[in-house]
Amino acid sequence: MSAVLSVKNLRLYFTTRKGVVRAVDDVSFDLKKGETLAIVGESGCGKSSLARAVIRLLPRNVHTYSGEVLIDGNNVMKLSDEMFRRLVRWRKISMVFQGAQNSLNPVLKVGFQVAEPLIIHNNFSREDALAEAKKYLRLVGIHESFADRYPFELSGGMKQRAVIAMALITRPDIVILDEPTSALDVITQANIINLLKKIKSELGLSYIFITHDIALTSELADRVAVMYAGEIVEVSDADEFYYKPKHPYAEKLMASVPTLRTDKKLDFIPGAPPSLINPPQGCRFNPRCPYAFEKCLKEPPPPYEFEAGSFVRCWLYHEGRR
Amino acid sequence: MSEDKMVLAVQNLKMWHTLRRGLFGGVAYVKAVDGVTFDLATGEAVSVVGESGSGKTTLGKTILRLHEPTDGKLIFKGRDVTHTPEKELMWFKRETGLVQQDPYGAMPSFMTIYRILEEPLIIHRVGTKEERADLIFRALEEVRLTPVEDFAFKYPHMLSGGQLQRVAIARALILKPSLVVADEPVSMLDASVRVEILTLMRELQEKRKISFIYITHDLSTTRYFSEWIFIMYAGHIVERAPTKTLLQNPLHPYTRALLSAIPDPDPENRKRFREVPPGEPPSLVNPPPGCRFAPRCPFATSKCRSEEPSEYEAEPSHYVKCWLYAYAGAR
Repeated sequence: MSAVLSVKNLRLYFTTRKGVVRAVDDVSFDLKKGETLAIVGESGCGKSSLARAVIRLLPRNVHTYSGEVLIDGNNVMKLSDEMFRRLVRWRKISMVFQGAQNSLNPVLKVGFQVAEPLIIHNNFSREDALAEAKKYLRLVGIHESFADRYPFELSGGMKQRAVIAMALITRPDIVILDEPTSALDVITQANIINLLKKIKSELGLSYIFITHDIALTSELADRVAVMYAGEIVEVSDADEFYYKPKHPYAEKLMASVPTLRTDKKLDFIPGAPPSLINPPQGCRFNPRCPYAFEKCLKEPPPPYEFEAGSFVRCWLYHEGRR
Repeated sequence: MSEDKMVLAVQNLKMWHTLRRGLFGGVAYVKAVDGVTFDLATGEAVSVVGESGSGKTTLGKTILRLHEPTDGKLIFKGRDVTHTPEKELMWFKRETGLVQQDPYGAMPSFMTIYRILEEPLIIHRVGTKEERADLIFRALEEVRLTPVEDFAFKYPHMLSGGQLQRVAIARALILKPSLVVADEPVSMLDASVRVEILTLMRELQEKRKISFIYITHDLSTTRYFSEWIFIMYAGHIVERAPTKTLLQNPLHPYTRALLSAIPDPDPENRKRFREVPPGEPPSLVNPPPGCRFAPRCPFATSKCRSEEPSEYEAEPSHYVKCWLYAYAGAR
């Protein structure tokens, strides 16, 4: 399978009063056609910044924004902001934002808000866009009569469905899902995940699924990338990851996930993630890693590849200790 | 359960919030807690699990008498506190503690950690200044905010969410209460920190034999931290049982739906769809007659839609509010 999206050495640093925050620091990964890549990590690890860097929705205080983002083989980092907006954002790659169901405009009808991307990015007329919006509302399981309603008339789950319709209406190849269900109840969450599974196969989409909820990633992920302190420290196939994560951080993170159906002793990671202004020397996880040795304190580990598209950044593997 | 082992008895408790409708409209009620009954023994921990709007937070607050119940009875250590006026409740407040969801919102930002922990001691006139200092330092040590001198004089914004939740726990425990309600104490924290805080709470609860009510929407953490699980739906406890029993043999159709909606980390999940009921929980202003889950329940009969089921003991210590189990005999 070929890659629809290829990210190489992506960096996104922010300027703050306290110094430069290295939110995304030399991140590379591929997304294959029809695949879901889950990106997991604790809050502040840079996963949402990574999404924003890919779709180029940046705040004003950007310090560094560099690297390559290849969509169908074309490096879109070279495009101007205007060309990126016209050709790439929402047309090739769209996004469902965290808590988006609460950011619908309360004074605009739902149908218009779902239609708006077509008017902005695809030059549709208002009428055509609205007709299309009704089609996509039906696709996500909302009766088309809701197009004429206002957001307050919809439940949380329905608003989330509307936001998903908004991300699909321009027929992108890639959809970034940033915590798409984090504010919803578990049953509603399960309904939304079912919907995401269904439309993915119907429309042949590829997903980047960003969440802190590891159990939930297994609902969609074909591969899993683990982020820690601005870096991707492991990428593994789902079939392996949930049984045997490779990086010591991923291992500990998995051990902290409570399970309903199996008896498992819970564990936690002592300490806190490092500052992204002054990350530790060497491997960024070394202050919290039970297996750290001298080399981990000095040199940052390069990726250790297992097979194409699967690697771990850990000296234990390079040095044959695992 | 013998009287002396019992800390709390809740009998048909109701807490309705008033809601004014329009300019000339009458008064309506949000029936957030609508007839809840259970006992809690000394040193026992229960989890109250429900979705948002199920009434679990109102239940917790009503138990602590932060609301005055609309109806029913609240008996704490043999004394009826249902309608006791606020100023006669000092002893009760001293015996109970609360840990809230958002530690940043729950702590006054202009006070140091030391002042935050001293306040309940001052209100309840505990000890001299020196004795209070001693209690505060010991409390910080107990929640492992060490070195204590470093933490005591910091302000809330200087602490991480996990550290601040430890302060909240220290504050809830500093008066040595016999009952603590923790309302979503870890839902704003990262997975790994979550386990750390819950482990600490469980440890202190067992060590001090505190009765504990853990309110959460996250069923998967309950098995590690409580002896009992109560499932709430639309203002009712629809099922309650010892933790293992409930997780292994859920009886109420709602509990079953809830369990089947929660994934464990398993790569097989992506290959199948989850069977979950459609729809949303009902409005608590106008709940449906009969069983409140009936509109979404795959097994609902006409009886379910018209008559409210009582709570049946379907198997020993396993109570379920559902017509399907009526054969087991009413309690």
